[in-house]
Amino acid sequence: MRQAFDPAMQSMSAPAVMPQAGASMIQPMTAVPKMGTPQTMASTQSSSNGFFDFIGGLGDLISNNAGTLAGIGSIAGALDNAGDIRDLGYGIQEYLGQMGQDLNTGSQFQGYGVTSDLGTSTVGTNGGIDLGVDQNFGHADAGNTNMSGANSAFQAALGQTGGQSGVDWNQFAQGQLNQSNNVNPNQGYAGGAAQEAIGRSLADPSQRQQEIYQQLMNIQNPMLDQQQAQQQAREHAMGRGGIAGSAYGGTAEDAAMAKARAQASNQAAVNAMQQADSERSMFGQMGAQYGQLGNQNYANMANRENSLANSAAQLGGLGNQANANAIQQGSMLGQIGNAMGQLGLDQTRLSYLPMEQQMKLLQLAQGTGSMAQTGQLTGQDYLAQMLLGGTNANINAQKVSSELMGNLYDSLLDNMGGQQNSDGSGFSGIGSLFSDLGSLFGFGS
Amino acid sequence: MAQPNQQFSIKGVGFQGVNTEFDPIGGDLSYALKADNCVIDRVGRIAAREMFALSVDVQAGELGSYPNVDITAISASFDKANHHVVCTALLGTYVPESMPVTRIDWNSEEQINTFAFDKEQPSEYRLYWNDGAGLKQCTFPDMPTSNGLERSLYVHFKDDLFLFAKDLPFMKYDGAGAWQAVEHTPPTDIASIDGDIAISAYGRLWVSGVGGDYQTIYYSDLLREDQWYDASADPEDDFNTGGKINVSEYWPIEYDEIVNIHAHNGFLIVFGRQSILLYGNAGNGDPAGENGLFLQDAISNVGLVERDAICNTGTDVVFCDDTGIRSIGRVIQEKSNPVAEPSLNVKRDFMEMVRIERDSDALVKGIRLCYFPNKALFVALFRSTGMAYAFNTERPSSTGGARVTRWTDCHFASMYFAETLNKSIPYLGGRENRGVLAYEGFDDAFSYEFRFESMALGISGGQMLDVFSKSIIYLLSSQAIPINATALWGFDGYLNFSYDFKTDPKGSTEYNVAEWGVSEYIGPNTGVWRNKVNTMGSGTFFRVGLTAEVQNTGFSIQEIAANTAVGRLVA
Repeated sequence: MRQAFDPAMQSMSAPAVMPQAGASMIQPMTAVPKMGTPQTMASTQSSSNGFFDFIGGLGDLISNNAGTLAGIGSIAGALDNAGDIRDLGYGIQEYLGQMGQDLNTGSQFQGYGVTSDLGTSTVGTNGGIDLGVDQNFGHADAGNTNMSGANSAFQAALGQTGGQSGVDWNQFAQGQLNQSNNVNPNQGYAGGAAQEAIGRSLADPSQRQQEIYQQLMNIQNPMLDQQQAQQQAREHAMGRGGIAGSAYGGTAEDAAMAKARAQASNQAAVNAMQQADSERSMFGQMGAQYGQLGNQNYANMANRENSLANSAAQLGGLGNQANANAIQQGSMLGQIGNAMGQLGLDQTRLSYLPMEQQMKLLQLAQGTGSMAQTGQLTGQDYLAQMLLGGTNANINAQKVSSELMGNLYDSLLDNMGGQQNSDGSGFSGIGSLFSDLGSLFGFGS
Repeated sequence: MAQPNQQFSIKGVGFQGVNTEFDPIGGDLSYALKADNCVIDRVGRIAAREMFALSVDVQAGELGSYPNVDITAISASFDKANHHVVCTALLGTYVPESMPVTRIDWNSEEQINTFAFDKEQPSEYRLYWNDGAGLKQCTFPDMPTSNGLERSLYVHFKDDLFLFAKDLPFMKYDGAGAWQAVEHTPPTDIASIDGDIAISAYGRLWVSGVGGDYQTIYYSDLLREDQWYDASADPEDDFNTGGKINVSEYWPIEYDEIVNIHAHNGFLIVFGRQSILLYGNAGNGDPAGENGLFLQDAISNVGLVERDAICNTGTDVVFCDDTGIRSIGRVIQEKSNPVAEPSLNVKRDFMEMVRIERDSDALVKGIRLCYFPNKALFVALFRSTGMAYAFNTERPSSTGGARVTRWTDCHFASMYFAETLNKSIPYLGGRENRGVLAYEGFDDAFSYEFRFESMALGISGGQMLDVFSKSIIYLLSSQAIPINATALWGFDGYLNFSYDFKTDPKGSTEYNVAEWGVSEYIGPNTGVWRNKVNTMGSGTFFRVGLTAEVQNTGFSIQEIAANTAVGRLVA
């Protein structure tokens, strides 16, 4: 899918589409954490974090122990002391917290800027970088154009690489082939006519002779009948109707008429035989001619079939050639696309060159910024160290004080408590104290 | 009697023959009212006919034992100049017919008798020939019955004699008393030629009645009696011109049958009973061939009464119709209706005779015509009555009819004129054992009566006068032999006066004073003898006549002269 060029894509968001191999990788911009942002300090004594946690815990321990001790020691002083220490801890914590807050504030990144002929880049306090230099849109546009052209070329190449030319020669070839297959070479009507003619030429001539004879006699009979009727009428008018001679069976006129009829019949029979033979011969010739025509028709159809097949083959070849051409064209288009893509990529890359240069300037500025930051952080660090040192000293002092008091109380407690022998036997000590206290105050056993 | 003598002279008396159709009282005296047993002689006179003289005596031969023999058909077999008689004889018991036949004469009735065989008695026809010693029975093929021979018909064809008879295959005579059936190729459609109507003409035999078919004529191949109509698919002779003619569709009347066939002048004449068919080109090659036989004419209501009532006179064909004797010659020549009627002068008498003959139930009956050229006459014989009319063929009478006389006592049943190079014999087949007769000469054992009756005399001036007869003179021409004669005269139509006399040839002969005055006609010892008879009586319608017993001599009436006084008789 062609990715439309977004002019706004000058942020550091990663491109939606990974460039393919060979394509220029657009590196995402990594967010730079704000420097000097203070960690949130735990608001409770249980925070085990750091020294303060230790201090707190120790305070708690001491408090607890103080309490315990207070309880054990039942001295108000100890307890107050523990409370004071705790308060101190709290106070330190709050101080440290405030100090941390201050450090945090103090260690906040102050940002910096780079100014070049390309533009002015600024790094904000929050770490945000305002490069202040955009792409070279001319190159970007050209690159996009080329990329788009490459894309189109690729699309075209993809289209061409399917082997389908603009004209579906294969379809034509298939059509031709289908036509060729549908030709079914035969002798056509001539074959049937030849078959029929041959059949007639080989048929029993007697039937055809009889048909022709009958036709001839049907033509002649009315005339012969008329002539015979006239002859008989003449004969009757002459009184010769009753005369019959041996030589004629009737009169000579009767015989002549009978002879005429017989001759007509015989002639018709002979003509019928000749005509039938002629027809047979004619049908034979016709059969041969039709056969030749049929063969010619068959040859023509075969030729047509072959021609169509050849044409199909040629069209197929043409199709193949066209497909090859298309593939070649696709390849060329692909190459063009590649070139155009590469060009586009180059141009795109080129379009980022100002920014890169600016960024290089920013990198260069980073050192200076870092130095500035380092200085700042160092100051803060020094401040923190000082503060922590003071605190620590305070604590230590408190600690010593407390330890002294604790030792005091410990000794007191040791005194109030027993001894635990090795066999388990013990002696009264604090427990006993407590028990005693308890018992004193009515607790425990 | 103050009237002067008036002589009625009849010269050439009756020389025009009998005329019963004429007005007898105002007629021509050259006609006779009756002329029995007369002929018209060579010089035109009424003369005695010749005798039916015995030629072959049947009594002397093997037929002598038969009570009665009638020769019903007769012919002759010729062997160059010689010939001999062949005949068909009916043998049986002869019973003279006692029943008379009455004929109405012009003013009276005439009784004639008929002859007949007794049909109840056995009879048989046989064939005979004259071997020189008498009639001798011929040999002939077996036949189931001889009845068919009653219709025997002898036909000469080429040099042979054939016999056709009813229902019998035709036979051929071997010249010596033997008849043999002719082996012939029968017609394709018939078993054999067994017709009883036949004629030989134009080189062929023409036969009808074959198989009883009287509508068809079968004709033989040219000059071949053994080849007939052969229309088979495999004919024996490819050049056979035999054939047949069916005439049934050509009768000009509703129905007719062939009665006889005749040939004349290139025509084949087919006679029906009531009509006639004339076929032309009969002799022109194959009748069935191109330009062959064709129907020239058909004549209605004139026919032939029976098969043998026809004869050919050479120039004409005469035949007997119901209306008399007819001639067809003019028909042939002019293709017109037959106007020639030889029997015109005796028409109604003749018709009556035809009727009698037709109605007769006699076994031997029928009318036969025969032409005797050497006698210049043809005879129409009525067999059942034994009467005949003799027609003179020399020239007709003034009426157009032939000069005719009548013959009575014709004791023959058949006639045949045989003629060779040196001999002509009119044969007669005798009846009643008379044997074979010949109409020739006057020598015979039997005499006959000559009778002549004239028309009425004495009619003149348009007035009816009385005639007083004084005498009659007969000038008779005869040999010098006395003849017993009777003079007849009478009045009012009746010859009720007669006087017998005998001619006296010793008187003056009137030689060289005869009408013709030529002695060569008379011959030696022949003269015209004058015989006068004194007569008596008076009346109107005076007529004269003469009867004579003729035997051994003939005679003719040269002239009759009657001396009379004519006037009105005052009572």
